[in-house]
Amino acid sequence: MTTAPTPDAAPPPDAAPGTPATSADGEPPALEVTGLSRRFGGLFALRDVTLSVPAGARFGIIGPNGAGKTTLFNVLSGELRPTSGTIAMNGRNITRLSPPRRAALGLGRTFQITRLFTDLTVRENLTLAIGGLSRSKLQMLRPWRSYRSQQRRAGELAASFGLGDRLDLRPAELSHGELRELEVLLALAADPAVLLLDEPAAGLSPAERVDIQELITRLPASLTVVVIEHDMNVLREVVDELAVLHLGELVTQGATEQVQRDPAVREIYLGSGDAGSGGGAGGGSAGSSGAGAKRDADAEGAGEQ
Amino acid sequence: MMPGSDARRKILATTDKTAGPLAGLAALVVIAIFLLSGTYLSTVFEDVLIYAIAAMGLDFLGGYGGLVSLGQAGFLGLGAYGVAIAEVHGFGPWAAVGIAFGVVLGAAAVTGFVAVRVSGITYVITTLAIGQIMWGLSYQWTSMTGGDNGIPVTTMPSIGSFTLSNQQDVEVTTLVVFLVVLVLLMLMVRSPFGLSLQGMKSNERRLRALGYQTAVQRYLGCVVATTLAGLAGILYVFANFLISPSALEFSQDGFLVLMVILGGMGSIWGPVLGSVVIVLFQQEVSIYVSRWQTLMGAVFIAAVVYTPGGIAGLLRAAHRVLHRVTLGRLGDAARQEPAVSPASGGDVL
Repeated sequence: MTTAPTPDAAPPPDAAPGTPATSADGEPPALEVTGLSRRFGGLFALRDVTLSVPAGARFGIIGPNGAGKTTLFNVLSGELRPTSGTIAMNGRNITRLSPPRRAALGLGRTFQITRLFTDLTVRENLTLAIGGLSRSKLQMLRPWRSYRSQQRRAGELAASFGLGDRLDLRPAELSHGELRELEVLLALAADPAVLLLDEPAAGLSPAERVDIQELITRLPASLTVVVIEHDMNVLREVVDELAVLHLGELVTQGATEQVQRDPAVREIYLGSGDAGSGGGAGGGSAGSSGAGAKRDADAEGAGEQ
Repeated sequence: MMPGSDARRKILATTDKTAGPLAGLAALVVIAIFLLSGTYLSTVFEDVLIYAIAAMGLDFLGGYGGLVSLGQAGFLGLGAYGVAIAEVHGFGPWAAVGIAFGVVLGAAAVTGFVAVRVSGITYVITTLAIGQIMWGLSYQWTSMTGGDNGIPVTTMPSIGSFTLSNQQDVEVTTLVVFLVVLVLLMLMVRSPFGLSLQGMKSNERRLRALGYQTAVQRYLGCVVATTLAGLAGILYVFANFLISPSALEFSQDGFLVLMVILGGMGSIWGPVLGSVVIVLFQQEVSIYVSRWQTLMGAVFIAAVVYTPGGIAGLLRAAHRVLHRVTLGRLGDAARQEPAVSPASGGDVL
């Protein structure tokens, strides 16, 4: 089923910074995926997925284990080539571009399994992330510490997420929650127009999940955010539009409320007998679904390679 | 908190910042004294500095960027043979140096593409193959290289009365080139490019997602490493008056990697210290112990097991312990200072 963007999620007029001047008819969607498939041998990890993310949206993608969520992100960010189909960002076809080229066009992503520069300090991690799109990144003789505005920005970014006094620590010395925050910070540092968050709450405690939810809520309104989640409880509060993936296919896309009431979605989520996740019941299984998310991470991580 | 501890902590912070450079300066003075002493040790330290240049290049790409080459000695040989062969064909010494450097740059520009394409163990093996091809050429292309006998180099470059046929002038030249390379590399590893090299070693996939075309990092890193090997080769031929296939043998590639690992990967000083140890083993310990290679192997294993950071790591650890002991005297409040973290300690050397 393919759905056009719902009217109530229409982008604010100032949305989509960095939109190429070529955008012809008003405001193209931040991301437009058409007929996207990705096959691993005989297995379709994604089959004919078509969806459209309006600029400035808070867009959630949910689905049980093995639904193809991470594969979708890897195809969106360019780490995997699609078997067929196209991807357009702000009206520009990016299907054949490499990950760094997509990043240069304003696509940022985080990883489900935290991928930081573990040998480097928080400050160095942030400096790399800030410098990724700057011209100074190939400068060989001037110390990176002497780029004052970049260093100021690193300090501000860290402070805005409560990592201000962690700048000289290495990832091994941070808590799991802080690592997840740094993971998001690295993607934010380059000032992307579209941010892909791959299970930002994976493996977090219920309290830390709330922190991540707040973090997503506080992101600038002009930024288009796409979040993958496994657990609908995390998303309900923070996204206004949802797409549901199941076994590589798009089941539905629409406003959060409407998708939650969709019988097909309830079937997928509740069919397993897990009372916690679906429409109204809500409570209960934060802890156990945390463990589930962890398993999910391991499984999909192995598949990524 | 005791009175005056703030002032003392300030002194401590200042010592932290100056300890590395001071230790480096002291080491340099010691090396310079040996080098210019005019004794047998002068030639030993000439070799120390020449191999240190090649080892620092190896470490720049391997220790920082994560691409370890086992063909570095081949490019050292290329620089040396470049000079020797050009002189045999009637070029003057300066022209020969220019030609050799040009050949080295060309080879570096081509091998850069290898670094772009392959990673990890594949890179190790590919560079090993390239190094062995160069060794094979030096050994068997007798019409060009003189085969097993090598090529003696008799005409040395000179400016006025400063001539490389004078032992002391070779030493001064080697020291100056070494210092220039050292300073350049120290600047490079602190630059945005150097940081991105470290990021590449740490997590290349993430680096690409942040907008870095890591092919550029790989290519430039490889060009720097290869060029330094060739530069060391050009110095080598003037220090030894001879280049023969033994300088390109696989064991030489191995020794260069040993220098980097023993001295400390990912530190510019490490390979220099590693070069001191290995060259002393080759040229001094070997006089007294006929099975010096066995002894060196034992030292190497001990180093890998007990100090994964090599000699440089050992010195950093010692510095941290000293720091903590001094800090301990300042009382409990001071001990909690975050400055004791490995991160800030690591920057010192």
